[in-house]
Amino acid sequence: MNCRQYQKRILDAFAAGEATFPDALVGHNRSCRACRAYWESQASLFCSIDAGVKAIANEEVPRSLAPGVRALLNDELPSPSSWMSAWEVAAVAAAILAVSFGSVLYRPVRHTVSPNDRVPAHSVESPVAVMRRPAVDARPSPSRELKRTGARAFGHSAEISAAAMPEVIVLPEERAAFARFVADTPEQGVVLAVTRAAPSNEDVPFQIAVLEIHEFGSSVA
Amino acid sequence: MQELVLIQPGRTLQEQTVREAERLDSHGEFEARLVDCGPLAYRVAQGVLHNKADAEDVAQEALLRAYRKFDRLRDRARFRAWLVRIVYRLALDRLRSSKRRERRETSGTFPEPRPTAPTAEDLAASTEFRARLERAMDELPEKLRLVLLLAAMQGYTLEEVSGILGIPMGTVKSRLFFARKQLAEKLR
Repeated sequence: MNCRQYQKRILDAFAAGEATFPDALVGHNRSCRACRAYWESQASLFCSIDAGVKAIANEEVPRSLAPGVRALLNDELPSPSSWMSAWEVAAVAAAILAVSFGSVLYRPVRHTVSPNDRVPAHSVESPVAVMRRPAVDARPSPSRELKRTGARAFGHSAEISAAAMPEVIVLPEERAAFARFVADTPEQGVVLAVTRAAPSNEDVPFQIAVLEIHEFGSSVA
Repeated sequence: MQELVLIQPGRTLQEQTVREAERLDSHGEFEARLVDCGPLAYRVAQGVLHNKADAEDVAQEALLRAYRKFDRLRDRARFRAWLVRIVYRLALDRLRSSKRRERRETSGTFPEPRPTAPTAEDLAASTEFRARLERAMDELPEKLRLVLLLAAMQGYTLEEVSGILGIPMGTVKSRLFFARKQLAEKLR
């Protein structure tokens, strides 16, 4: 072995923390001044490294550590036992969301109409009054819009009472959902509805028409 | 302050009491572990961060996280290893973010010379060496650095380090060897 190889072995021996060194290494050091100097420098270096790492690894622990953790724990107690509660809260929230979603799917929807569809203010006093008027089929109306999806306006019938009529306000973009709702109702074929145009300002009265909606299954699907 | 207990519907008072007792048991057990392992958490954090305030912050955060998930730890004997992993990961994250911040703040400016101790020459020398050692340790691969730190901590044998890290004894020794060798090469 040459000096370079010896010095590599010296470095490895110190890095491994060996307490004793091979005889060959010790013998070479006795005869080689450069390797002896290297040995001594490495011994000093590793001694410093060990002392330094020990100092870093054994820093004094601040007294505030444990009280600080306890204070943080007290702030958020009772965390461990509240995990199930949190899940329960999440389950309740999910249930509320599901119910809300369901109600949105089957809620009465509004139908907006163009200004042409509006009834003059003097012609309508109240929704009930409108329902007792003759049919509104002479003018463009929401009912005409609904015809495309299978809804047809029909004239006022004396035997239909206002209280018995379901009130449905249908937006054009929600007709498909409304059609599904109608298709699911037990009384297939005839559904009475009252449409109400959303006024663009407060002064314009509601327009109400009595509708018969039929053939949704074929026209919408 | 009066403590109010809300009894949830569908759950009996007895179940509630049992759960409360379990929580108190768990809290008591954690308190014992806090006293036992708090210093370990701090020293691991300090070994990575070299900053007392940051190390305390990180150790507290790690202990708090450990507490939150304490009930889910099946093998309580592994608590120490688990805590070391949490604190080491948090400390590395903190170190990286502070280095990024430092880079942003010092970009375009010349680095200022490190302050040295004003008096004793040996103290200055040791301070300088310690700063070099800390930098050299920061450059070590994470696995080597953690083994070096744990092995240097008082009261921890290599067997315990092996147990904490869940790695074979031979792996601990080899990592320690490479860590020391790399440090020596950097500090030469």
